[in-house]
This record gives sequence, structure tokens and C-alpha cells, in this order.
Amino acid sequence: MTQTWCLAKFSKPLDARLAIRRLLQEGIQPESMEVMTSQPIHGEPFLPEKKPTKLRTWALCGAALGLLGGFALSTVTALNYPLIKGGMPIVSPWTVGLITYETTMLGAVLATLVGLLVETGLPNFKNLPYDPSVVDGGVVLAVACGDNSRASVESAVSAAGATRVNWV
Amino acid sequence: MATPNEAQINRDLLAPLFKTGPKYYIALALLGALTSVVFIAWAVQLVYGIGMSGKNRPSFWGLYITTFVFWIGISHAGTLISAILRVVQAEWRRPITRCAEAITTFALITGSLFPLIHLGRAWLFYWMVPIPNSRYLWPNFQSPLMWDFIAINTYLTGSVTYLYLPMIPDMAVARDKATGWRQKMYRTLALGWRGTERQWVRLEKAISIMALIIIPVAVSVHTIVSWDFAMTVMPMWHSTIFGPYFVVGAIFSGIAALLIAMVLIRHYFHLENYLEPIHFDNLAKMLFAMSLLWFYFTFTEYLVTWYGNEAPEMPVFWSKISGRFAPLFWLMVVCNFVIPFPILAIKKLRTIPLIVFASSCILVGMWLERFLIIVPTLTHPYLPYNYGTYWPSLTEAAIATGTLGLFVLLYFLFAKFSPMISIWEYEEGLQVASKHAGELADPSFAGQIVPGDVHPGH
Repeated sequence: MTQTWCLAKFSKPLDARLAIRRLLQEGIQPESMEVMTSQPIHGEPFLPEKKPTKLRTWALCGAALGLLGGFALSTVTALNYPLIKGGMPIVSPWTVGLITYETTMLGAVLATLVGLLVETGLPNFKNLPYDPSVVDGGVVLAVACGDNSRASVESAVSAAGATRVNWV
Repeated sequence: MATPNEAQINRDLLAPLFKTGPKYYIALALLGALTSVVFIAWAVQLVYGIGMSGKNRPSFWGLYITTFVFWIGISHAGTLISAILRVVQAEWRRPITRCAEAITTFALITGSLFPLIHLGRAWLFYWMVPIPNSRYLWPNFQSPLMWDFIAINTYLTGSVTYLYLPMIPDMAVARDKATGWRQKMYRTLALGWRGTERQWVRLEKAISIMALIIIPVAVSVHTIVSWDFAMTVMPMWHSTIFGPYFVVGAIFSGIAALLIAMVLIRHYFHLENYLEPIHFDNLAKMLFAMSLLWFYFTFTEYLVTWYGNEAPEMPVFWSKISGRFAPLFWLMVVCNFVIPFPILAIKKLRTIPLIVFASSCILVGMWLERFLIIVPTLTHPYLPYNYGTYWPSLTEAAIATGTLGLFVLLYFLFAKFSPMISIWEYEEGLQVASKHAGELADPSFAGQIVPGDVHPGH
């Protein structure tokens, strides 16, 4: 059995929601569907999300790593070659605090970026289902289906008001 | 004007990327010429030595450090303003965030050149990089110059990330509309973005996290720049309010720069329907508040010095109020307060041409402020025996002036490569405005995407 993607375009999010409801009733799994838009759509999500985002955790872990790294950098390097500078202690809490603060923030920035790339699967240049016309508005619903479910998927999305249906 | 639909918005905002008129090339040539002045003068200084900058005892910090602090201040325009407006969910922010964030990145790059230029032997810059030297001695993290290095690099990394994240969906739009080499470039920069629900949720979350991170980083950067001065025991530098004073000045000059950039972008790229008078009016109100804050901090700083009447500080104080530097000092007050105050306070005067005039005055005034913090103190150190004078050399003046060309050149090049208004954020603003308008008319409104009759900001 070959798997194909049905790309159904809707002019309104409401129609796309209706199509998703019909497809779920037809027994299509939520994991087999993807919704693409040119902008984030506010309100209820189109599809239930199994894995909620952990970006805050990524940022916190990055901050913690940055904190440890900055603290180690400013203390270990000072102790490694103990020179008194400006009458300050070899390890001065004030200056260590400053360096640690900046590296903490740097860690959070980098970890957020890495977390975003990991969670969104970017960069990804594989040939995934996509309809470039989505950038001009509307909602594109991509449904993965086998040969036996093609007809039911097409009738469900058409009944919900799809303005165009493509198969890739 | 009827609100455009998504296809029209894409056409309007991508047009500057794909259509280039002769005006743009003329501007580019002029800016390139001005920029080349920087590199020629720097080359002269590298070949003949730091003596070409004319620096001598007692004032070793002159135009280079003045202009460095000025550009770092300008960099606060973008990321800080954009992040604050994002955090408070100010809807009118949408058309201005990209313009602002780009200013931050390019002002930081321009400003970061100055420590290198000021170093004289620029090729020894790597001594600042946190790696041990041949004797296993690490850089001195107790030095405010190392704090600068770490803070500016953190801010630059954060600002570039914060600029790039909201650009990813716009790069995808450009990819889908471009052809040839441009399509290849945008395909790479879009990273394979498809606009799935999962991607949008995560992108918005990442942007909101970044906005929260970048605000304290931006504040810390200019505070640390101020500590380059305040950590020394020089007259009128060793001040506890220097941190907030510099941050206020930075935001003040940053908003002024943003307003001028927005006018240029609006005019040259025909974005009159997107950058509307209300955006200028709102930013002008912020500028007015910053002008008052700047005056308050300046008054506090000088009042306390005068009242304290300490012997080493008074020569610096009087050199600014009624001495050699008085014309520059009073010009600064006129530029930063006397001119902007009525223009920004009176609604009838808050027109785009007058806002640009006030902003230009503020940029001049803020550059003078940095100069007046640095040079009068250095020419009046503790011992009167060491008093001296300072006059910038041709090399120094050429480099300082030429960086204006470099900054605008980078900004103009960026404007040809990325939409200067975030397309998806603008469209999202229409959706929010439409939903809000629908809710007002009918509380049971379901909230569909209908590119509304209301523009973001109204």
C-alpha cells in the first residue's frame, strides 16, 4: 500500500476545523494530519498536541549551564594563576557575579534557539508535504492516507468546504 | 484605505526585495564612499600607528570612545523597545519591530569596531578572548573592559537570534515568491519552514522567552558600558547613578534613531500604508517621556556635583557650565530638551517632519552628551598639574563620522534582503484586530481569519 498526502486548502479556519472533525470521525488519526497557515491562528488548537513544548525547560537548562560555565570561568581562571589585582580578593564575588550573570543569559539565549530547532525539526530540507499558496492566506490541511482511505478523505474535506484538493 | 489581504501584503512588503530603483544604487554608492573613509583612515592609523589619532596625555579617550558609547546606546532602540512592546502585547508594535531589531544588530556591529580601532594594534584583539596565553595567564575578569567584552557579545548573540527568529516565516514567504539564486538563498534561510501548527506554537513561545531574556541583557550592557567610567575614581565619573543614566540616554537616542530609520524606510520603500502616522505618534510619546527622564537624570547628576562642591570635581563642572565646553553643553541641553519638549508634548506639533527634526536634534545632543562625559573629565584629572586640552585629529574625526555611513549602509543592505515589516506579525495583527472588532459587535463571534477592517495600531 502506498502512502500519499492529501493537501486540502480552506479559505477559513472554521472550515478546516470542520474537516478535521469529519476526518477524526472517519477514523483518521490526529498524527496523520498537519495544519499549515501563513500566521499563527489564535484560539483552540486545530489538532490535539501530544507533546507540549518544553522550550522553557530548554531555556532554564541553558541558563543553568551558562551559570555554571561563567562561575567556573571567572573563579577557576583566577585561582589558576593567583594575582592580586586592584587590591581585590583573588576571587571577587562582585565581578564573578557580573560574568556569571552574562553567561547565564547567553546560555538561555543559545538553549532557546537550539530547543526551538530541535522541537520544530528545523532545519529540514526534505520533501515534506507543503502547499506554497498557503503564504497568500487560508489554511492547508495535509492528511496522510493509504489507497483505501483516499476516497473517504477527499469526500470529507470537500464536504467541509475545501477550495482545492491536491494529492502528492 | 481598505485593508489589504494576505496576498497584497506579501506583494507590498516583498516588493523592496525584488525591485531595485536607481535611487537605491545612488544611496548605496554614497554610503559606500562614506564607509570607505572609515577603512582608509583606519588603515592609515594601522600603518602609521595610534599617534595618527592625535591622542595624547591627558585625554586618551576621545571621539572613538564617545562614538562607541553612542552606537551602543543606539543599539538599545531595537531589541529593548521591541521586546518591551512584545511583552506588554502592544498591538501597534507590529510594523516597527523588525526596523527596531535591525537597528540593534547593526548599531552593535558598528559600535563594536571602536574598541578594535581604539586598541591601536588591532591584531592583538584576541588577548580579550577567554583563552589562556602562552604563560597560562587568563584574561582579567575583574576588569570592566572584560565585562564589556562578555556583555556586548552576549547582547549581540541575543539580538541576532531575536532578529532572526521572527524572520524565519518571512524567509519562507520570500522563498515561495522568489526565483533563481534568491530562491536558493531564502530556502536556506527559511530552514524548511512550512508554517505547521506545531512550528507556530514553538516559534511564538521562543520569541516570548527571548523577549524576556533580552530586556535584562540590554539593560546590563549599557550599565556595564557606564561602569567603564564609574569604576574609575575620576572626577564626575565615580557616580552611582551612571548605570541608569546611561540606560535612559541609550533608550532615548535609540528611539530617536528608530524614528528616523522608519521615516527613511517608509519613504524609500513606499510603505506609507503600513508605517502609519499613529506609529510615529506613539513612539514620539515614548520619546517625550525619555526626554523628561533624561533631563531629570542630568539635573540630578549636576545638582549633586555642584552641591557637593568637591575640589577635584568643580573644575570639570565649571568647564561644562561656563567654561571651554559650555557651548557644547548648552547645545546638548537645547538638542535634548528645549527643542524636543514642545514638539513632542504638543499634539499639533507632533507631525512626522517635526518628529524627525526633534529626533535628529536628539541624536546630535546625545552624541554631545557622551563627548561631554568623557573629554572634560579626562582634561581635568585630580591634579591641576596634569590639566590638558583635547582636539580630535583628522583620522579620528573621519573614522567617527564615517561609521554613520557604515551603519546606514548595513541597514539599507538588510532592507534589500529581508522585509522591513514582519509579514506574519502584521497579518496576525489584522487577525487580532478583526477578532476584537467582531467581539465588540457580537460577543459570540467565533474569531475567524478575516483580514479585518482595522489596522494594527488603531
